[in-house]
Amino acid sequence: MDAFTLYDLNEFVRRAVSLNFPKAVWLYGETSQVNISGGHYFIEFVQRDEESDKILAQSSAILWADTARKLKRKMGRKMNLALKEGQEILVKVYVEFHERYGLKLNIIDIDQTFVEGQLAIFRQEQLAQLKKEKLLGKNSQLPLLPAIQKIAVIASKKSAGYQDFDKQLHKNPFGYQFKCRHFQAFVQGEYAVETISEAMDKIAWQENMFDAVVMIRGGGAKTDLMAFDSLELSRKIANFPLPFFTGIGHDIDESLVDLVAWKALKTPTAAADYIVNHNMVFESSLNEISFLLEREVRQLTTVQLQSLETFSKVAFFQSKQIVEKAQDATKFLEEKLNLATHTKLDSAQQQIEQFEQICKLSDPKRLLKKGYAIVRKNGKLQTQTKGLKKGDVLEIEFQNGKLDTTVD
Amino acid sequence: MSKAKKKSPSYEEAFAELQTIIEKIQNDEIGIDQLSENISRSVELIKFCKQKLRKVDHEIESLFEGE
Repeated sequence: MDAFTLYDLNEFVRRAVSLNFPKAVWLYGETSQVNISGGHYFIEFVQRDEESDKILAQSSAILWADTARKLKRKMGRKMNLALKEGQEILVKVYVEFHERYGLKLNIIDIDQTFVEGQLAIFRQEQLAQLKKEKLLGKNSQLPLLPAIQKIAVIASKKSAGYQDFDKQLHKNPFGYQFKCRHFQAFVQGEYAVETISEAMDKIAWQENMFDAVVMIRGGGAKTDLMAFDSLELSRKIANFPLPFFTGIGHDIDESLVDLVAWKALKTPTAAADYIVNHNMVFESSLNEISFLLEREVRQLTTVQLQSLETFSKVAFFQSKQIVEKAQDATKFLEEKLNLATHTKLDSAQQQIEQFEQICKLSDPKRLLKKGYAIVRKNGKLQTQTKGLKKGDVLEIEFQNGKLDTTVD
Repeated sequence: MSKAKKKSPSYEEAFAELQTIIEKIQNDEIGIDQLSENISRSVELIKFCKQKLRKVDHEIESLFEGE
């Protein structure tokens, strides 16, 4: 009987395989199992039936540690995603058959664009989900204070990005003061989502202490942005109670977190600039209001002053007029009094003088001077001859004396 | 405590009294005997009014100067 030894058989297969697959080939597969040991990746590839999902084919693959390191340098964390279980990837493999170990696919490269393509599809799906949950504009509906002063910063403290942000913010040309509180998080690597999430929880717990949140990731090397496409993180940002800004140094794209943020800025410096500029706009509007107010007040006061000036003049002249009028009235009365008094006195005087005149004229002595005499009989005035008889004694008064005479 | 002095009249009161006295003189309601006394009172009232007006005038001037 012609029988192979196992070794011979396997050797034959090895040679056949080697002959047919002299060069590395590109292979589509799905990673169903990934085990890492000593830096080497032990992967089980499968191909499933599209409809039934039954496994149609299966093969073991290996990514040796040194190749893995090279790929890691090239791809960053995308490699980890590519080699996650359940991930479809495109790999370049050497098909190797070993007598002892059987068929092994030796991975020497991973197609980045395919991975990126997968990631992009995945991201689109997540974006669609965010849209479905109406989360895309949610955070940006939060009102932003006219002046931002108290900021919670999620960043890796020692990173250049954080330093840039901090410097740009505090050394702003307008002298604006800010109160920043740093919340430590890893912004890359497998703990990124978790630490960012924790930082966000801490901030949310004291949301009244802050006006806004800024998440910073420095630029520099083309490291991965995986965390920022996390659906979980994006949801959290969308629902966050404070305005959430992102200042993630991208090369080209936007991450999911940028799409749900209040505002996404290209770099940490740009984020700082945005905030400073926001405050400047507010200050400008205040200045404008101040200017307008001053102008209006000046106008008002000028008008008022003019009115007061006019009133003052009018009041002065009116007062003077009243006083002058009163003075005239008093003077008039004085004159009237004068006149009335003198009139009365003159009148009385005249009367007296008249009486005096009458008295003078009526004085008997005046008649005596004229040659008349006054005849008396027995002391009584005798004005006629009637009643006189012979022998009567008559007294005759002359201007210079009296004498007695007898009637003949 | 009795009032030592009568409360001094207002300008208007003094002026009115003055007018009354003059009217009485003009209407011969004041006899010669009372004339002296009434004139004396009138002169007093005139002096009072004139003084009052001078004072107000001065005050107005200084108030407006002061602003």
